[in-house]
Amino acid sequence: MIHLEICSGTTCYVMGGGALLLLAEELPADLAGRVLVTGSPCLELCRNQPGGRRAPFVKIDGRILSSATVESVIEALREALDED
Amino acid sequence: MKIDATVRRRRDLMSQVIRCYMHDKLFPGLTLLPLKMVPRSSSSCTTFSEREKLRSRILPILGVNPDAIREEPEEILLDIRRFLKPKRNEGPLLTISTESCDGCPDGQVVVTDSCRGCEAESCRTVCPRGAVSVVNGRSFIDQEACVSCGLCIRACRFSAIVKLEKPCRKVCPTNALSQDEQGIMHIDERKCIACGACYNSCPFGAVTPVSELRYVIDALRTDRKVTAIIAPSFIGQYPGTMGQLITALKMLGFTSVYDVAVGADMIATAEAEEWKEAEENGNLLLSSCCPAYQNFLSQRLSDLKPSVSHSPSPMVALAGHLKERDPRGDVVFIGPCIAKKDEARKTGCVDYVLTFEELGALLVASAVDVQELEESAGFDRIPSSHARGFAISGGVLKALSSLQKDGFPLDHGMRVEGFSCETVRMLKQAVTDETSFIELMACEGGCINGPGISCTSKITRRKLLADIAESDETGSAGKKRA
Repeated sequence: MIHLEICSGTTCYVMGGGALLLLAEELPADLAGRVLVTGSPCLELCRNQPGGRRAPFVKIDGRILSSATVESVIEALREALDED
Repeated sequence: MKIDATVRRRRDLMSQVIRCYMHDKLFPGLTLLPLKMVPRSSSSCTTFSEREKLRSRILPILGVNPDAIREEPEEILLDIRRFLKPKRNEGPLLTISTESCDGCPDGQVVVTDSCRGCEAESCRTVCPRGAVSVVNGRSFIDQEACVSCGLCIRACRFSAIVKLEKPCRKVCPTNALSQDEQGIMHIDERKCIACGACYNSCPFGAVTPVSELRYVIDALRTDRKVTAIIAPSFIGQYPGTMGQLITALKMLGFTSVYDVAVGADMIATAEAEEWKEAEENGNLLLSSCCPAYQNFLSQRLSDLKPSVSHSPSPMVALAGHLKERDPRGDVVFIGPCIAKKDEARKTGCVDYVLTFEELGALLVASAVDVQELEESAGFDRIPSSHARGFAISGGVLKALSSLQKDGFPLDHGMRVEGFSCETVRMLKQAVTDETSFIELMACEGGCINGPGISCTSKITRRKLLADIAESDETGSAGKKRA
């Protein structure tokens, strides 16, 4: 089971993280049941923006993804599953 | 509304501009912002152009109408305080950044790569102007001869021919957008109904509302009481709970916070009575709460204006009540709607209007992490669940229906959303048929889907309906969701 943590700090939420929370029920068939989706307290990444990365941030099994969108998260989840 | 890269960039810019203003770092803060947001890339031309686009969008965020200024954005930012007026903008509600507008092609019919060069050549044979020919095994349209009738589009069985349309012009219900010689779009203030459809349609982020954020920040720094009245569609727009959002608003400096649904409770009985009278007299009553629809009626269906309810909108009812109690205090409406800015100006009882998106930028600029805050007790007054339902399409009709006596012909009430030809036809027909009440909503799905929302309407709709159902069951104000 892959763990997808969606930052629910204010910055991430208004930059699109709020909408990402719907991913829990909108995962495509090949990912459904294989991903645990949780909201997370602020990951504190928006304040530092390492390397110019921007909100919203998510973590996939601890790996950070910035400027996360439904499409980029799904792609990253598939890559993570392939690696497993 | 999809929160894509365009939306994220405008929110990022908005929060950073506001942060510069709050910390009194307009110079050199604003001049550095575009450099920070658009790092130097391999193409210096692209870098320069992208930075110039951002510069041009800073003025409206600070409440300045850029159309009224001749200087170049770069020059303005060197001494921006000169352009910041103490009184709020009374000019256009929405502007288009000429630097950002791409001057998209409009009305051209073109053949795409999907063309198979088929034997049927239906596109060529149906063209009444002989504009279509076959070149190198594929259809070609002579733009000089083409009259954009669209017959070839319908004839092609591969859907290989398309008509290019400017996204902003396509969604404007009153044809308020026109282009200049360079194809750059401009909004005709006299025709604009402030529905905000163009705002989210532009993939270049060129359409920008002239914000009142700066005035709200200034008001919050005074000793005056500043009351926030927040539209019931706030649920799901921010992280955390309703109580935490109220705490966040108080941290920003608001003295008290009301749910605008309280205003809906104030007007519902009178509007239900108006419906009853309209039914008895064989007349038609139109709801009055959507300001964009009121503007649309004035422009396009002025014959129907006398049918509009005399009840004020919930925002105006609540703000009027608060102003009566404390005429010196400021009232700030926070909601999903751009047209409310227009209604506030016309009625005069609301001092400033912020969209949910603008409040989001203010929270980010103030580094307020909503979900980490203590919960406040709740709103200063608890509205009924019916009143909270005003935010969702059909909610006004449902609330008014619940106030009618048994046997009232509720099927004589209906709802209309958007401004399509079909909705206009329905409205015209309603004058002559049995319909006695119509709920009018500019935004499909209702206010929850307004142009100034911060998060997707799907979350708001779900949470609000659950909350209403729960409060109906328990008779309480429901769970404290935000």
